[in-house]
Amino acid sequence: MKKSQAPNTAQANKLFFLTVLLTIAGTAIFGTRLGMGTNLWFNEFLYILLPPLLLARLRGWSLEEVFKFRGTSAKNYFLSVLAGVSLWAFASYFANMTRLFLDSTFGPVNLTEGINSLESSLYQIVLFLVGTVVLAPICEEIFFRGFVQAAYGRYSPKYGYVITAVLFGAYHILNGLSDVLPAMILGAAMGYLVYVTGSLAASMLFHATANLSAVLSGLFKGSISPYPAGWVHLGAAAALFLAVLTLSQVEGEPEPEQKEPLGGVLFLVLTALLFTAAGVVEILARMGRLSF
Amino acid sequence: MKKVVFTILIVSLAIGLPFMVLDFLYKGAKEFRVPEELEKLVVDLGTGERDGELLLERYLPVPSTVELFFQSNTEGPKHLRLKSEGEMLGRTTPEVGFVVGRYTGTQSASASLVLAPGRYALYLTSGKEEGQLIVGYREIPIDQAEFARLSKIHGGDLNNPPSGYKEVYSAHLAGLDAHDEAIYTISTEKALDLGLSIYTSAQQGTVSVDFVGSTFRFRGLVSTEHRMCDQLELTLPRGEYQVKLSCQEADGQLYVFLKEGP
Repeated sequence: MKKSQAPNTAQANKLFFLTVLLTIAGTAIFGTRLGMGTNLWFNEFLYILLPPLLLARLRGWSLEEVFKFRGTSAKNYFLSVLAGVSLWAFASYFANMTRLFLDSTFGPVNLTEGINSLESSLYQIVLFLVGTVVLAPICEEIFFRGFVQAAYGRYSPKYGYVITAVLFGAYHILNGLSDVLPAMILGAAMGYLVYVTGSLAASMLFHATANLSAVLSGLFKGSISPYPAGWVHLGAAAALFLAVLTLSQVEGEPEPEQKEPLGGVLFLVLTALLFTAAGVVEILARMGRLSF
Repeated sequence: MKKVVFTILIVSLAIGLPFMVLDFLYKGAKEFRVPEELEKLVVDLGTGERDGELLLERYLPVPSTVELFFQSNTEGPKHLRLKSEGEMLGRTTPEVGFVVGRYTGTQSASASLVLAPGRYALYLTSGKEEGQLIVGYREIPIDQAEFARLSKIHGGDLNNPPSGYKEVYSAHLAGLDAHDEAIYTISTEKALDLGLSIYTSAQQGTVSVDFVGSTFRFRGLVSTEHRMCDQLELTLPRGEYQVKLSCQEADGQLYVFLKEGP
């Protein structure tokens, strides 16, 4: 039987379930032992990057064709950076508002353990920064926009990137409930870039820019009030408008895909159950009914 | 593009792996560092699970400040609970809980509590893990007049600052809605010794007072659970510092006192 030259949704859903399971188990078992920086590297290399690359190797897929390992125009690169900064600004505002809502509704969550592991070592800080700005944009883009979106593009040629964005956002529940919707918004933008340009480079650049903005803003976190002033709401709306305007200027022609049925639904349901459990655990922890 | 991506990944690994090894060695070199002046109690966590096991029982003949210090070289949470027969000044109930994770080297959990005469005891709930929990403790008797002052504050008479401290802020918290609002700002052009005493009688709602500088943030100096922060002494480098209040649906009062200089 001839092997398919692109991933399908059954493979994407199985691998996504495996990645989520490995991330949860790996972080629970090794997280505090490794430290926050090293654990991020394990997550990106072993649980996110390795599975799709191994599958591609086993199936003999071309990375350039299947995962869209291609460049794009200088204009598109520039627009990706601009959109990355502006949409991150909006997503960051949105995450902060969600966090405030969760804090006031269910109570605050205590994450001092992870912070302690970062504060304890300069090596962990360097690993965390490189992991966030360099590794995450490459590994997560290969997995989500390269692999998962390629599969869902065959299920829904027009909205495959939107479904991928939902999965990308849901995956971020492991960072906390407040990160889910902002990650979905950023994921939709990165998926759109790949959908239109046919290039993973554009979304990697967008992702790196957004993460770098997050790191730089983190340096000032202690001196910024979490309660936004009036101008911050307007600024966030302006950032969203700028991001949409920028993305609308990106040039390219979406590649036609052949529509295929959805597969691996059981694994999708199991993944959804894992995410639901993660959300419930966070809410119980916020309500003081669980402690770690 | 494939070459560029894989080159970045390989270069990152080449740089990152030595960092991971160095971090591992750095962690391995960490040991317990209990201050010499403290009595030390070592608990072997590998002997079994513990569910509220009594670790330490002491009797205070006079009012005292009890200083506690915890370190452990195991990952799992160790839940410690200190219960006092007499009053624990500044707290709603005469007991307090601590959760200790992996704290070695310069990392530790510590607390300083003012207790009325009587017995106090420390209990541990933990899983079975190969490693140790170190408890350091010290009791320092308090002068009767000083204990009387703190007891007044504990009883709700907040306007009883230590000698040399001046009131910089006071408020009735009922109906006050503040979100990280600066209630006092200090600017200094040179290094400054500062003493900070904050008291609240709030028993409901949310109250939190933070002390914030450009490079640090002391969170929750007082809250409805922990209502006294007495004579927190700091040496501050030049810069601007703020006392910030968050308060919703609270009751009672809040007083902030400062002392500048040694």
